[in-house]
Amino acid sequence: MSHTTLIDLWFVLTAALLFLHIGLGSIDLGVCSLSLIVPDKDSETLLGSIDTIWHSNQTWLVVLGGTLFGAFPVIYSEVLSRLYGLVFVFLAMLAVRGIGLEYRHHAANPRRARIFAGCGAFAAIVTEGLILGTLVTGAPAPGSRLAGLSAVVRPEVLPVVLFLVFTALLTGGAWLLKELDDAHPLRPMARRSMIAGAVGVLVFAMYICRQMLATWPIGAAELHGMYLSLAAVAVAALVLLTVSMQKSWRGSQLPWALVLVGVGLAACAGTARVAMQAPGAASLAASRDALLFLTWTSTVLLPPLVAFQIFQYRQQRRGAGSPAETGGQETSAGPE
Amino acid sequence: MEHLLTDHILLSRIQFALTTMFHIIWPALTIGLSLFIFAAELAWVKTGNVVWRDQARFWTKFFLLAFAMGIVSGVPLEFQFGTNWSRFSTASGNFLGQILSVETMSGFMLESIFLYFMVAGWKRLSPGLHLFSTGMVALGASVSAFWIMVANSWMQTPTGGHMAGGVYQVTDRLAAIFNPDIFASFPHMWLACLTSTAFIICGVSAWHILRHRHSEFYLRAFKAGVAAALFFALLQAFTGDLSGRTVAQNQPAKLAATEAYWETNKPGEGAAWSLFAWPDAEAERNYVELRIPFLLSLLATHDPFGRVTGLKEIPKDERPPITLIFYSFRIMVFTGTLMIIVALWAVWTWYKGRLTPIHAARQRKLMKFFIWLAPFSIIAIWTGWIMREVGRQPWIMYGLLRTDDASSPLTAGAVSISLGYFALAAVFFITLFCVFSVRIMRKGPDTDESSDEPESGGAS
Repeated sequence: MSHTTLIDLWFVLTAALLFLHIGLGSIDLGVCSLSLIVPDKDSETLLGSIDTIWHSNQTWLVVLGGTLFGAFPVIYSEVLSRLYGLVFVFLAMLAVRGIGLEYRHHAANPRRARIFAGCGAFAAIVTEGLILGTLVTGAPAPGSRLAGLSAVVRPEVLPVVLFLVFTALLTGGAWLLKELDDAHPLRPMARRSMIAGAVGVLVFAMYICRQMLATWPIGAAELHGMYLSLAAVAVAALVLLTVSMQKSWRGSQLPWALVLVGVGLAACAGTARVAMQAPGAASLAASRDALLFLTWTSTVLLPPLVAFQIFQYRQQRRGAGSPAETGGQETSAGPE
Repeated sequence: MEHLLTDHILLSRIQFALTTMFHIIWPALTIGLSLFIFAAELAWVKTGNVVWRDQARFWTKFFLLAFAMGIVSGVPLEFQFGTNWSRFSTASGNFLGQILSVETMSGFMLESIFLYFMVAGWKRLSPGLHLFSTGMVALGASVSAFWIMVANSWMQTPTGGHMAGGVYQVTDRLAAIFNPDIFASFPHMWLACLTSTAFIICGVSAWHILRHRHSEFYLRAFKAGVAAALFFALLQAFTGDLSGRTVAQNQPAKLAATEAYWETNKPGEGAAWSLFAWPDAEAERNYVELRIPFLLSLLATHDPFGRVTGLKEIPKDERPPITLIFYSFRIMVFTGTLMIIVALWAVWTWYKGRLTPIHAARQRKLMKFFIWLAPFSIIAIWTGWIMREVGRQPWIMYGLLRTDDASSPLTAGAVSISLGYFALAAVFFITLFCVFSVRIMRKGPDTDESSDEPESGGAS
């Protein structure tokens, strides 16, 4: 395989990992955020539904970071060092969310821990939006005094922030519809969250692509093709959404919600790839030998991991009740 | 102080050291605890004795706390390569990037996916399948440690390629992975994790035994912990020796600084080992020295007259800080030796039949030693890492790239704020972990066995 082919391959894989991180991670970030707006007695039900999945969902962020470093070390170095302040706030908020979520079973005041988890999750979504928004609209110069924190006052990053907020509403709502009983009083809220999220994801994905096309150096001929592909993506997403509406509300929304997020991100990633065709872009990636090593190891490692995570979700779907009530563990049946 | 506040490289180094020292506690615990839980569960599946299942389930609670801490602290660590050390990330991207990527895809992911089955699968999975899941979590933790040690050992002894245009080009990837340092450093670190965990299990158990709470349960954990602690601590001495000789061969400056050894010994003369000294880097000599003849030559080369390079042969700008690593190494060795002695003492007491539910609580000195050694086992890991990392200075990639040339173009103000956050977060999270661990300990295992004494027995 040539170096260019490998770069293309790893661009797609990195974009796929970004999708796994945003698509799956936004489920638990969305549910945590939604727990802030429901009555306190219901917030534990919401958080209990993601007790066993948030670890592996967050792990996709670690895999994404590792892959970005492995495949595109220059991008990894430049992005993280230029957006130093934002990256640290994002990581700090993820830590706040994780600690609130994990330790609420042992906390003297579980309500405070739940609020901790919800606020941390919402702040993490917003900060990640600021990071990605800054990348779309142009990162600050190296060594800037505010270390990327100036994004807070830049209105042009807002569409990406809103895209992620709506993604969280969409996937979080879809997850809750799957988890909650038919008669549960929170189902209407989850349904509204999912529909609002779906509309928001579509609108802002298209807006971001348009923003990228206006900001990045893309030729007129490529532009024409991009608009066509964007239109195709939007139509496909609407069809998928309509299909999902036709099926029963219970148990079938999540895959469609993820597909919707996926097409939105794919459109953005496709636009980014067009921009990366610029001369000298190959120097952003690791050497051919390094990418080959990464390709072979990933060919062996990634499929079983994805399969195991699918199996995990299926088990979660089949399982009865949340382990939250037993402090994260079920009672044992045992061999005896 | 002024230098500290304006030097973003120094601040970045302190931040990386702080986050590493905070993070390393949790992988050490998860590696050791996952193997302990696996062993307990295996005993349950093989014998059908539910006390082993209770052991597995009780220690899983600690494992979960430590695992959550590991995720929370590990994510910032991974991203710091890019945020604070962007020039190093660019230079090492053709090797280090893939290694960290493989680490997350293999070890870490394996661990976090099977953790679900380990925690939530007691009812849903057959005992054999649950045991398999626990085994996968244990394997994932150790595989993760292997790749991290590959990355770190390559920074100590970079082989398998060359620098070209400021970027390391790998020509032999296997040689880079299996670099000279990995054969000593991985077993040494892995055993350190197991030994520390064994002492922490013993410490927690001793705390309960002294308070007569669930004595039978904790005595079982204590005995298993003591057996593991002695076995691993003795093995650790051998890997420590291997590690020392690897450093002597590949990083003479680190060895000389660790031993505050100034003059290269002449042929026919043995190098002495300083048990205690006060090194003066400016004057290039030691004060108040207590030396043991020939021991350094013997330790470094297995020959009482073996040649040991002195610091004076190394250019001043290539010498690591001396006093810090001199004392770090000695604290590590002293703690390790004390751990072996206390483990031997416990085995002797056990052999004499004094570790029974009735007699164990009377072994107050022994139990208190174990309670105190539990945190010291982590201090031994910390000091070992200080020696390893500070000893590599002034290089980030030994002999190839200086630490000063590897940082990101950041302002000192930005790094000061993030460092302040990390310091506060570390203190907060450790406090949180301790508070919740004590709550789990007070609650005790989920067994039918009640307290040996009334609740007023001073347990809380």
